[in-house]
Amino acid sequence: MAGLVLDQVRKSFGRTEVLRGIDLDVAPGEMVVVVGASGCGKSTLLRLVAGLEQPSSGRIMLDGEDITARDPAARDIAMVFQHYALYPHMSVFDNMAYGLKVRRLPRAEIAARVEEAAQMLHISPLLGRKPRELSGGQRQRVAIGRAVVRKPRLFLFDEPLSSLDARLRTSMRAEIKRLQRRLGVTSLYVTHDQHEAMSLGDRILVLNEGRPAQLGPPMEIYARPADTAVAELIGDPPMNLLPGWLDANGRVRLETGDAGNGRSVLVGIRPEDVAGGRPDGDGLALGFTPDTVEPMGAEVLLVGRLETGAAFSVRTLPASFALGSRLDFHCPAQRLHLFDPGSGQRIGPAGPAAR
Amino acid sequence: MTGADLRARLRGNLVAGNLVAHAVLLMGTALFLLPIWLVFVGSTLDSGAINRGDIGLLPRLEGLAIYPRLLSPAPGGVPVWRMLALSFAMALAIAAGKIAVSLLSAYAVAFFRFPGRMLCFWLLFITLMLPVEVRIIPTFAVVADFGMVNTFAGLVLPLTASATATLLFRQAFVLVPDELVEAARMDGAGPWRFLRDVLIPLSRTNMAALFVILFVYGWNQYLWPLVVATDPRLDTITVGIVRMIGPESRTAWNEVMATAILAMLPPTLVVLAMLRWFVKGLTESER
Repeated sequence: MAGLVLDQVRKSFGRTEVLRGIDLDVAPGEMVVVVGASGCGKSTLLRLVAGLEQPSSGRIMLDGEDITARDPAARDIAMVFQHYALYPHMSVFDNMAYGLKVRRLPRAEIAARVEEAAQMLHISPLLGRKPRELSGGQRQRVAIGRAVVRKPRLFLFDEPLSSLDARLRTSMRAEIKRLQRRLGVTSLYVTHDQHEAMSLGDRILVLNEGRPAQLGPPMEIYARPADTAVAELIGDPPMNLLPGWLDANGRVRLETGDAGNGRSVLVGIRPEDVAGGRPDGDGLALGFTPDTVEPMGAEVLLVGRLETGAAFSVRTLPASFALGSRLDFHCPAQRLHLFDPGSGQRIGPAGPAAR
Repeated sequence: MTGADLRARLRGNLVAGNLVAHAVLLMGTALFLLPIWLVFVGSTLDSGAINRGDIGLLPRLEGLAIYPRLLSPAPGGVPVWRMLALSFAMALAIAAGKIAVSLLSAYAVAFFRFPGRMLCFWLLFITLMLPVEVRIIPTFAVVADFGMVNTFAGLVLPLTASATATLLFRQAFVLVPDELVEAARMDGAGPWRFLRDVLIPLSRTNMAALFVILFVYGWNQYLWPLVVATDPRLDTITVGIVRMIGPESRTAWNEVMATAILAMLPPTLVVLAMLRWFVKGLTESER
């Protein structure tokens, strides 16, 4: 078995259990993005793989070798840090070369590797500068370069783009993806940004309170979130979650009141799955009163309340909307997501009403 | 009021403010320089004039000959050269020793988890309250037991620990981001390499500032050299000056003052040479 394998990895700090049994299998050359709200344990997971922390129990394997107890330097892993972590007194060249110097590579080899990585990252003209003379984006390129020259078996990224401005983040995101594909190095990438997770990951691991909530390709996670935590995290703006019930005929109802012999559920509706007008057939009718319009460019986000009083948002094409008055929207039955109100687990992509 | 008016008025205020500031500065400078000037003037007079209290504000130029005379290694004369050299060596060794010791202890306290870490830190902290003057008898006993009385090592070693420098380094080290430490670990740098390749280069300005302070501290040591070194060959310049002062009428005051002037030069030169680094070390950080 090659690639990175985590086997029931747990980590506690004192009495706080931060990671509660993580299993993960990253194929060689694959990029898995770990995403979750802050405090979900995603950074701890990365630090365990890096060797900066020791797991309380469980095993970490890389390319078939058990590296759980190994020193970080002996794991053949390179890491890109959130705040770049460049050595402030060293030139860009020395920053990238340092790990190789420590490993006593021949000088010519070091120079060749640094030049190659610098070219790849378009920082060749900067090699003589000090980190403080660089912009944030350039610093992050150097930090990535420092990981690249090591030619490691595994890349770790710890929210590398979170200190960059939004525009730079988008372009660096594409660049990291290109680079990772080109080098074919197995990668684990941690972020709290679902855009980043969606666009970068071959697969996404969603962590929730130290447990793996869902693992799968981005579009699958988007299409079939395993529970309410995933549903709220993946997708922007987040999915609407409304209390409702399945009536005796298996139709989804939002109306409050007695569920009768039906089953109470949480109904998930993505803002972009909502269309104007009354439903034809078995869609779910939504009487919606918008009170705010947020222009998003190609689309607008309407924020307001449903007839039931629940907060709701709709993403739709721009038009003139009468704020404060009730409008008819609907969601096709096959686009409804149903969750158990107790456990938050997914019940179905849609209720029996989808038939 | 137009912008130009305002600017002119501000400039006027600025000029007035500058004048006041300069007046204060000049007064302060005079206050500090006057005694030194008097010592210099005294060094050029004959010793009788000083005994009579007959010092003016102008030096006697032919009296300047006393400087070459003091510095020439004449047999039987005052070995000023020797004392200056010894003081210089001692101050250098104390400053270097203090920096080396406190750098390592600060490194240990700031970066390593070991049992009794906080105890060590507080013990270090407490030694701030125990300068040599307070512990001179036990310190002398220890140095004597090591057989280091009347040796250069005995002069220097008891002064090479410094809680102040340790605390300063510790504060600087605590500010080093964890990520940087982790990056070095991932790069494969062990503790010694991290100290050598990252921490020491990052602390260069701190070290320079500390060096200046500690050199002057070492140079000014009086009590300890007086106690531990009775051999005249181990007289530092501070001890030597005092030894030159005999009974009132037989003291060559002009020689004492000239030696005092000479004694002021090396630390002054060190401060001037390191001034740029000194200010940098106190005001800016590399991070």
